[in-house]
Amino acid sequence: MSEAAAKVYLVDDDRSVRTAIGRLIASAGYDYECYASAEEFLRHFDPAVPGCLVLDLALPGMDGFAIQDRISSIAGDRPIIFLTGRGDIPASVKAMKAGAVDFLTKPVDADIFLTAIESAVARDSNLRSASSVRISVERSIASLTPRERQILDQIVDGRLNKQIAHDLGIAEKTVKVHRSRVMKKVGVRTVADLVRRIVETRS
Amino acid sequence: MYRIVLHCLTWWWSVAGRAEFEGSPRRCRAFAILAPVIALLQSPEPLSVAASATANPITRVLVVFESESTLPAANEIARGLYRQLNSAASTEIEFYSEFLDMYRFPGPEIRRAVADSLTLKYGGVALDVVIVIGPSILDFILEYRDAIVPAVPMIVGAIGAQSAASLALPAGIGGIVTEFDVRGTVDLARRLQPDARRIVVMTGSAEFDRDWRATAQEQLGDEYHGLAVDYLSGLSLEGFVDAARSLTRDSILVILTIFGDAEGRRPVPRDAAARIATAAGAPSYGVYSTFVGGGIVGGLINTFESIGTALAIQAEQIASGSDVDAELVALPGRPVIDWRQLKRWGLDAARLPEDTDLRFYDPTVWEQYRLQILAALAVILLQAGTIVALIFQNRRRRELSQELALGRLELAHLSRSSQLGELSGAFAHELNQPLTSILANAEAGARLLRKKQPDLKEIEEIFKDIIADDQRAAAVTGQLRQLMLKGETNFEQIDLNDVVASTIALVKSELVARQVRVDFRPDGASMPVRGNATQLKQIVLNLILNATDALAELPSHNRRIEVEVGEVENGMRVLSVSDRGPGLSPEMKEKVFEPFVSTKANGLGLGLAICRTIAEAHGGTLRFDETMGRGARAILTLPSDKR
Repeated sequence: MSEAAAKVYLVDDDRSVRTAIGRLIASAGYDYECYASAEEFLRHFDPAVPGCLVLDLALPGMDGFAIQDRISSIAGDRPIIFLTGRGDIPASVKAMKAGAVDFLTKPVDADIFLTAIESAVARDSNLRSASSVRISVERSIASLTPRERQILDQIVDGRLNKQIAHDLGIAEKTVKVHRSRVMKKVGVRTVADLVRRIVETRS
Repeated sequence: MYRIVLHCLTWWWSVAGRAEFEGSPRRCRAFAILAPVIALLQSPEPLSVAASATANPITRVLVVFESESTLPAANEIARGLYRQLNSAASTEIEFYSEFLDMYRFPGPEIRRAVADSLTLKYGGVALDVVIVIGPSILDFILEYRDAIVPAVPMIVGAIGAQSAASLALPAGIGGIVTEFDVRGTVDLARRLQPDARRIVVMTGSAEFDRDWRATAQEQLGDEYHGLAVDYLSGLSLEGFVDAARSLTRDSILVILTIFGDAEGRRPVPRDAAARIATAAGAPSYGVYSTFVGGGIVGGLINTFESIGTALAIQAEQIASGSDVDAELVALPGRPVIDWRQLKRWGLDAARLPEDTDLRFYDPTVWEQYRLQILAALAVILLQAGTIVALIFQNRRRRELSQELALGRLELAHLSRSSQLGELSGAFAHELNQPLTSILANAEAGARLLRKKQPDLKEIEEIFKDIIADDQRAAAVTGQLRQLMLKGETNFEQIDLNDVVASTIALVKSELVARQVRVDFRPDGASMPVRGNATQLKQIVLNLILNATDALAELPSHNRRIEVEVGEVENGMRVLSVSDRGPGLSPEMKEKVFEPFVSTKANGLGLGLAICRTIAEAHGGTLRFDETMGRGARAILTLPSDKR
């Protein structure tokens, strides 16, 4: 997942703004796609492609917030930079709460804009690697036997081997064997690592 | 009844007399026609005469003229008589008149026959007084008096002093002796010419003339009131004329009679006097009324009418029994003046005695038409007043309408600026877009140039875009400035499509922010109208913003406004703005155009009122579609520009 592969999606209803901002994005070496409306953008959006979104807040039809909503429901957390002609505080607060990376006022300074894009792309990259870890953990959890899953749950709950053995009516040694299998399947070496992974995945 | 008829008769008599004197044939004819009618009216009631006579005694007067009945002198005397008697009489007057005409019908047989006839006629009439006019019939009357009018008081008139002296009139006969007053005439002349230095008296060579000279010399002497008196006679008519011509302005020329001149010619005295007076170098005067009008200034003259008047006064006295012992009375002359001669000599009319008989008076327009002039002046004054009032009113109205137009302009501007103020965020956005593009383009261009091999083609594109965006920004500010200015009201040819398109473009970001879509369907390439672009844009802006407000409660995908421009059959341009909002109730569709009527919570209610005023100022209309079932449709019609 190199930076060069990242794509910037730009949605603005003003053609000349689209062209100019697009040029700016391209000058920083990013690949980009321009759309005049939310509807058009959503038809072409591919969640698998890394990168970020640059959205004009005021759009005819669906506005920037609507896009943000839709994206988070279909693709989870995507870094979004809002551009707006009216930099009013309530709008920016709302956008940031919904997970926007940045909220920039037109006309936008090129350095600030490109820095925002850079950090958004970086964040997307981080999110993407984080989510790949989670996917492998989930996959390993899925591969656990029912007994192993029972024991994993109790470990995450912070119970001792002895307590687990007593609850399940099995020998403490048997618990230890199951535990080591679980740790092997999840790919961690210590119990502490195991608990952190699971908690991160479940959150 | 009888009295009325009699009054009518006497009135007609006097009118007829005057008419004859003035020579108006129409009135004579009128009298001739009416006389028998009057006679008929009189005849059916002869018995009532006696009855009324006891109540009101009747004075019966017989007037006997020596002449025939059409002689002007006789008519004048008759006029004076009748007028005086009728005006002063306390009793009713019955007139009887006889025109003997014995000049033309002399002879003892005729005299006897006439006497018999008169005796027959007046034997049964209880006459109160007999008036004899003219000296020539006096002897006839005196001869037959006892037969015709026994014991009736008699007076005589129209006889000169000489005739009176030569006729031995029996006692008891009174009358009026006419005096030809030389002294009085000269006194009148002196009054008119206070600076006169001499008096010249002209008389002819005939015996009558010589008598006149003697009379004059007797009255004036050689010096009269310090003025030397010269008597000129024994000249030919031409001699008189020359002598008169050589007179200076400070002379008083008295022309008596010239019945004959030194060469034995016998001119008519009146004509001779006229010739002399016309040529004279000094104002001339005479004693005969016939001379007046021929060129003399005037004189102290006995008129025939005044003789009649004087006779009437005597007759009244006799009839009333106050003066039975009547005697001959000399009638003083009356000043008679020719107005034209006064003007000719520049004599002052103010010096004339009050009782002057001013003849040939040419009244000034003012004197003649005073009433008419006053009326006309009043009318002119009224009209002028009305005109002034109207002008004033008109000016006031113009001022008011100018004030009104100014106020309307002011109000329109106020409404526009408040509307634009509300839209300032949208305008900022509208300016921000090109600014954003320009900045981004410039930054991108700068970055491109930093590369080793800059894409010059791309950089050229960037510059082109920067120019385009700058122009776009300038257009926005231009539009705003136009709308913010109070603006002129001059009309020009404009394209209605342009008006709508530019207004929509101006509020585009506001529409986007409020999630409203505007579909504009222009008609044809251009839709020329004559009007003021700013004011028409204000209408479009207003209608679109109203529609936008109406859509606020609807889900965003339903917020649609349709703007249509078209032409209707009668050549009017139509612009309509429709929305699918809640619409207006039927009564509100008209009411919203009234000032301070608004359906909005915070609306001032002036917008549509001003818009309608603007539409009407353009010769158009603005209303809401009555037939609209859902939503609202505002329709603006404007006359097309037929250039």
